[in-house]
Amino acid sequence: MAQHKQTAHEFIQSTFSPQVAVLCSNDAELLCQKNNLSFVQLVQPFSRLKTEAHIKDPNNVQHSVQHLRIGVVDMNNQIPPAAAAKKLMNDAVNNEQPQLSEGNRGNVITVGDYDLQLSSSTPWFEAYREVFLQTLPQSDHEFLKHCLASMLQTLSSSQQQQQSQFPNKLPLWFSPNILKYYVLLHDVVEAEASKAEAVYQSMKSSFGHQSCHLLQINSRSLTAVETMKLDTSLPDPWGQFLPKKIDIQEGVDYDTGGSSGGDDSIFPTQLDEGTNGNNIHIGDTNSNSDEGVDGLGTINNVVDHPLAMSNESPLQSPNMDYSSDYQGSSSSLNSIQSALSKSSSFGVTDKNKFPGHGMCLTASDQDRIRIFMHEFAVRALIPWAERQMRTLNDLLMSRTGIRKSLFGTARKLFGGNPSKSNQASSNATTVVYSKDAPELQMRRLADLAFLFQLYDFAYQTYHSAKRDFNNDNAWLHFAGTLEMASLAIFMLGNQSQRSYPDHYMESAITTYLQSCRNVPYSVRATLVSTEALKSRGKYKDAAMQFIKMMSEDSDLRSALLLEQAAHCFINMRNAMVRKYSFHMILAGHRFSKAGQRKHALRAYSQALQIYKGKGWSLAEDHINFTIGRQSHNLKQLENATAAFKHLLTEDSKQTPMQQNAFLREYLFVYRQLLVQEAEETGLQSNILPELPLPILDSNATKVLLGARPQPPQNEKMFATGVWFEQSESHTNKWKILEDLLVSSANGGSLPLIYKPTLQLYTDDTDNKYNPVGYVREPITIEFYLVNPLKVALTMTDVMLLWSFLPTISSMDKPQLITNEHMVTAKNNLSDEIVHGQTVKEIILQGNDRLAVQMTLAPQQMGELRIYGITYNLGSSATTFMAPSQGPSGPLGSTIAGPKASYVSTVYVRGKQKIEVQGPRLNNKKEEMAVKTYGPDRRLDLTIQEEMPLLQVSFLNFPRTLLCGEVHPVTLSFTNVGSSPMHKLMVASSNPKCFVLGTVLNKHNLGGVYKSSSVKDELNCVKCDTDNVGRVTLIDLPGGVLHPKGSFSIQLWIRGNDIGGNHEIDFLFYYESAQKSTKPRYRLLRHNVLVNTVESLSVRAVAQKACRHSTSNDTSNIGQMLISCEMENLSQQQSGRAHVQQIEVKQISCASKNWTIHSLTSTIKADVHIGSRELLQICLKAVNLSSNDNTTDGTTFTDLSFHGDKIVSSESPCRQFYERSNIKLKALDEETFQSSTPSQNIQSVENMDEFQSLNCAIELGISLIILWQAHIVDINGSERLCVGQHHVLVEKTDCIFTSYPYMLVPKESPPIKFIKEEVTNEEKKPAFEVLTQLVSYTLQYQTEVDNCFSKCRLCFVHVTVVLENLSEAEVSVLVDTSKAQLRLNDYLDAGVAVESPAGGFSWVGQTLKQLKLSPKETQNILLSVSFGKPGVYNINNLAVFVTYQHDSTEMTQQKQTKPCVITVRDAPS
Amino acid sequence: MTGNYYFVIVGHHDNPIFEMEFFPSNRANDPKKDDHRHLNQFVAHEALDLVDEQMWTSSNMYLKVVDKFNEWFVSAFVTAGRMRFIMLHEMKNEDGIKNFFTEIYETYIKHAMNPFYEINKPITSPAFEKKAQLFGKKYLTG
Repeated sequence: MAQHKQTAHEFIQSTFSPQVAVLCSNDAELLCQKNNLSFVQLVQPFSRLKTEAHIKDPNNVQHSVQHLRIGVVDMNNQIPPAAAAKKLMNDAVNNEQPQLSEGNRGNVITVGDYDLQLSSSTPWFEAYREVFLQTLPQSDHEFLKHCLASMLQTLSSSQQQQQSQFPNKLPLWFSPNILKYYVLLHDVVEAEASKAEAVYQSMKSSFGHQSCHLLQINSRSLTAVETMKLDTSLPDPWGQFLPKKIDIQEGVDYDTGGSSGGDDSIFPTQLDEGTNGNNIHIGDTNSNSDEGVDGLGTINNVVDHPLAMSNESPLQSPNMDYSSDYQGSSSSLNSIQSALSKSSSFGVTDKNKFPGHGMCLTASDQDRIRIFMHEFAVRALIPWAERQMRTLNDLLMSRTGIRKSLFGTARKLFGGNPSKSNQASSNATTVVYSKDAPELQMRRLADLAFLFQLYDFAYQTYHSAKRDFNNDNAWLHFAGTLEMASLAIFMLGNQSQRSYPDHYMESAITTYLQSCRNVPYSVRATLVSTEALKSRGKYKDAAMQFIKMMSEDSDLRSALLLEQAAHCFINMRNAMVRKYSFHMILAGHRFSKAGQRKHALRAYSQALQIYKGKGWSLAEDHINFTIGRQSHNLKQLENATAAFKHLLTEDSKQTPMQQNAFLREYLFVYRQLLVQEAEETGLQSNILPELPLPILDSNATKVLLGARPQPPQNEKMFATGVWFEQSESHTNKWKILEDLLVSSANGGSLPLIYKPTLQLYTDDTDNKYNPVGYVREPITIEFYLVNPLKVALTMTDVMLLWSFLPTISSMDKPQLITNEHMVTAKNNLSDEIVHGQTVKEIILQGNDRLAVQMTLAPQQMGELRIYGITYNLGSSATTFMAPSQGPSGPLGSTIAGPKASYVSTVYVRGKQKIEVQGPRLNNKKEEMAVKTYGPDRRLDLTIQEEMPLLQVSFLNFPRTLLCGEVHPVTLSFTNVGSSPMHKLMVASSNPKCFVLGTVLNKHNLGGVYKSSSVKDELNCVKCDTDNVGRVTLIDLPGGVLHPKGSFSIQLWIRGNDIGGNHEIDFLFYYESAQKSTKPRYRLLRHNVLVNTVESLSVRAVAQKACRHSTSNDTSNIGQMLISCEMENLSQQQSGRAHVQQIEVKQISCASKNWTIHSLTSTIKADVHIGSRELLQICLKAVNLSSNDNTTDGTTFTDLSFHGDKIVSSESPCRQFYERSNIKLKALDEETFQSSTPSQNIQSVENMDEFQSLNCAIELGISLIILWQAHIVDINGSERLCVGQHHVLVEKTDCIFTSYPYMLVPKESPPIKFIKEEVTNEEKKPAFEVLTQLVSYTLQYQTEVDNCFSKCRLCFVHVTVVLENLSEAEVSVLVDTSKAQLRLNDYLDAGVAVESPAGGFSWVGQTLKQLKLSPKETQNILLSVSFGKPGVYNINNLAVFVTYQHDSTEMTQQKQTKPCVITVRDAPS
Repeated sequence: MTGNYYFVIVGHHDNPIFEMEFFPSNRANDPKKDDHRHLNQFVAHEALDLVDEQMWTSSNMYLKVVDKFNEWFVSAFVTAGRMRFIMLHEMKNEDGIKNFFTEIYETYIKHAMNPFYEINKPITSPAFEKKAQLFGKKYLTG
């Protein structure tokens, strides 16, 4: 709140105080100079009377005069010319600055949502007001400032009588008859008292004792002063009255040229509000006046503020009248200024001899001066004033009577009412009164009364004078009296009956402004009026008056008044915060135009409090920009940087161009700040400044142990390893593989302390533990840069910042080493320890997010902490550079040089910290209550000693395969680390698709399959499918792979049976041969995508061999007919790789107890299958005799169609066959270790429960189709490839394909919320099995001749052969009576049956029950009778079988082929 | 009916939640349009003091012209929920502005009922913007 030192009353009283001119002899002045004071200054502290004085008004009423202040001025003193006054005011304002350092700088007030810190006072305004009132040119229309008396001084020691010589330029005297007062100065120490007394007596005799005074001063000698110099405890009553010494430095740093000077040209002009012609129209109307103002010699480039108040009526050359008088007077400005500031300059040189004032004056001296002033006022001045008033009053009383009667009526009669209407235009016709015109006399009387606090009387007089002036259209005089009249009422305060006449003051100001064009007086009126209004609490009116006084001609004044208006708004009862802030902005703008940068900065900073963070982004940007610029101009670079920083926000509404300008400016200022700081500290600090841009998305930072995988070279492909683009699901996959590997390396179980290896540390991984890096192995960091701006940013020389704490075995404490340096010196120690990468240039486009990868390679063991990045931040090198942007400024030399595009702009070297935050903890109660985050150590690495490092490469790894194609790949392992390794293993998510061979040497290179000409058909090989797992051990030659050692093995890849893209993952595991290392093993990933193209599809059906009913031998019971259908699925396409032809080379059978034989005699048949062609081959499967089946192994039978036989029991054919059979669980389900063994066993038991029954229909024949395909590549070249397909024929009468069944995802039933009773269903074997437990065949005579004429009925004996196919005991019920028509399946056969039921009938026992032990064969004899000749199908028996004892559970067996019997009527 | 308009909805914490400028179609790409956008904000913000003062003196939501600064008039509308609609305009257009305010009020209410919209948060809905644009064309610049 703007609290002023003086109250309104005091202020008005001191503004309008009686003035006394002082004429001092040179000697007297010298005497005073002993105290570092002029005489005027000497008496100034005592010019206010402490006691009450009394004065009688002309009506002889006694009034008390309280605290009368007498203004003492030097007679030589002149009112400085306007230009000088302007400078003085500027200085005064500039010298009064708020104390920034003070803690209690302002008081905090809370208005609504706003907490504001306001400066409690505005001393600069008071200083301005004081100077303004002092330098206000005197006018003839009032007498308030006219000197009432002259004080003449002389010295007692000087001999000759001081002649009253008036200087050339006189102050304006109140009246011709002024009071003269004679003072005799007496130096107590130097002069003789008696002499002084003598002179005084003579003075008294000549001038009268009322107007003479003997003043004794300087009771202390100068020598005495020097001894007591240090005693400064005495209060210095002069301090506050003397002009403060102007600090030269301070004076320099503001410029009088209206707008901010040359520095501003470096800024882009977009934000210079004035330059574009928005508000020119105001300026246009004022162009006349501008001309005049420009004449002052100040560079007043009229920059219209768009915020400027446009006054209702434009001002027409407001101060032309006096400004022209002082044209070109600026040269004399300095002299005048010094004259004023040091008052009458007598002994300027020794002014600074002693710092204090009044050194020679003792306390009694001061008392004497006080008495002197009192004497002067009470004895001389007041009586004089009384006399003067009385004479004036008398004079007026006599005149006004006549005047009023005469002129008043005359005017009424003839003049009409000339006032009001032509007020504005009647300026020129102002009445000029003569010096002693009665109107002026009245005014004089009123002024005198006002000066001596006879306010009531003054008001009366003003009031009557006002009427006269109004009648005479003497507007200036009129305004003056109005002003004073209202002030008189105000000064009366509560004593007056009248309320304070606002409108008087209002019209006074308006009249000053509009009719008289007298701006200074209108300002004065405003100053006093607003004080009055404020003291009455009418803040709003005061604010309005302040705002009204805003004009274009003085920015300083406008600024100050706007600021006061702002303070008025905040002081209102309902504080208008927003008005306050707005007017502070306006004031700040004006301050900056007036060159008062500090004040401008202060005003803007004040306003920012209100706008901050509210979302008025454009306004906030404007404020911040101005604060930044002003701070920069004031060399407060830190503040400037901070302010500019605020401009670079994410969702700024500025245009990209503007933002670029902001950015450039920010960088420019920031760089200056850094240079300055470097100069101040004198040394290059090693702490880099933190930069705000671009935004570093710290938590997205990823740390990868390892380097970027090597790109493939020709046909050699390196293991892909780990890189940043990996989805979350994949990490789980790798983790499972690792679990498998570790457990198999550890003998089947996971070690107690086990955590899966992490190679890539991201936000999602568990970063509780420090990542472990190894010496000389690179570490790659990926960090994300986000550019919130709309313009591109350029980052150059980007480096990672790290600190390193080496683990040294020596005694001395290890020292923390970092690479944070201001200068990038070569061959640093830090570069030796950690090899870092430097990225030359990163251009970050507007609103972009960019991932940057950088590597570090530590060279020593220790703890490495990556804490940030360092870079040069620059704006993009764009075309719209500010013209002064070039090599100007102190940085020109450093940034010059035609290096590359990115160095041409201004840049700043700085850093940004990468601070990663751990996951939010939410386990304990206290953690839930507050936001706590766990540790995240992904950037704190432990560097350990060297480890072996495996490099795996694949030679000729195919991208595309045919389905089932087998492709050889050479797999090479190299230990590129520096210590030996062993225990190499590989795990894969898809182990079916590859087979590892042996170590390659030269002579076993070649084709995929081995062939031999030996005609050995049977090959019994023990096939252990159990060891086909995901983990495969790779034998190292020699057991250990030494550093730099390498070896290769063969690898076969088989294309997946399903066409499409297939991912194959390899995870290699190896251990360091040295035991000591803590993480014992290391891993290497390889992930490859193989595209498979459809080639061959094989379908096979096995049927029981059709047995001839007559043959009675049982040898062919174990025979099967396998029909195999092969189709070439690939389509011929030109321009794409396709399969031209597939040639089936061989069909092999792998089974435990079956062999196959060809049915065709021409075994060298053409087995080429073209595109979309189908080949059918029938094969016979023969059960191995039991003696062959001794071993548990698998017998391979090869049926070659082409000369050489491929040994299918050799690798890789056998392995692929093995792999084709095993059923692997999906990787996700594969929980390592039977964590719940009971469950597993349970399921196994369930499987085995019906094994004895299931074997009734199981075959277990695997057909391996080996083929060769001609492939035409895209470029037309042909190549051959080989492959194999597998068909596992599990059951009879079912079609099996090589194509694996697609699992149809099961639809889960709708969720029920009602609890259902779970019925425990009994497990049953499959229905299919139950119906085929027992096979039965009928053996009978197929052709019967019977003479029906002889014997009407023909009996035929039928033997039913029942064979228990299962390995369980079953009970069989053969029912002939229940035989129904079950011939639907054999309708064509049924045609022969004329009357199905009646044709024949079973005779004899209709029901037979028997038990069959496993694999047992029993015969039952049945009889059937025929009544007619014909062909009958007698297979309508019903055979019911159960494996349980409960006969109700019997299942009817599937009927086999029709059994046809021909009954012929044989003629006897 | 012509002249530029600047419309802002001010939230309870004196924060702008929606801003829009309307230009007559013939002056749509006025070069000076960008330079003084911050001035609009200043004037609108300043007028809040007077809006807060005057809303207690009237039972109407539409407060008509509450303030004037240079060439700008400031009209205001206070909703039942004390959201303040401020309109800066160069010409008097009482009916148009009143209609505009009423329509926007209705749109605003609908928007505020969206459970995903938090009161006093900036309105980013393109639908709202479109509506405002439409009403602006209809009542202000059209």
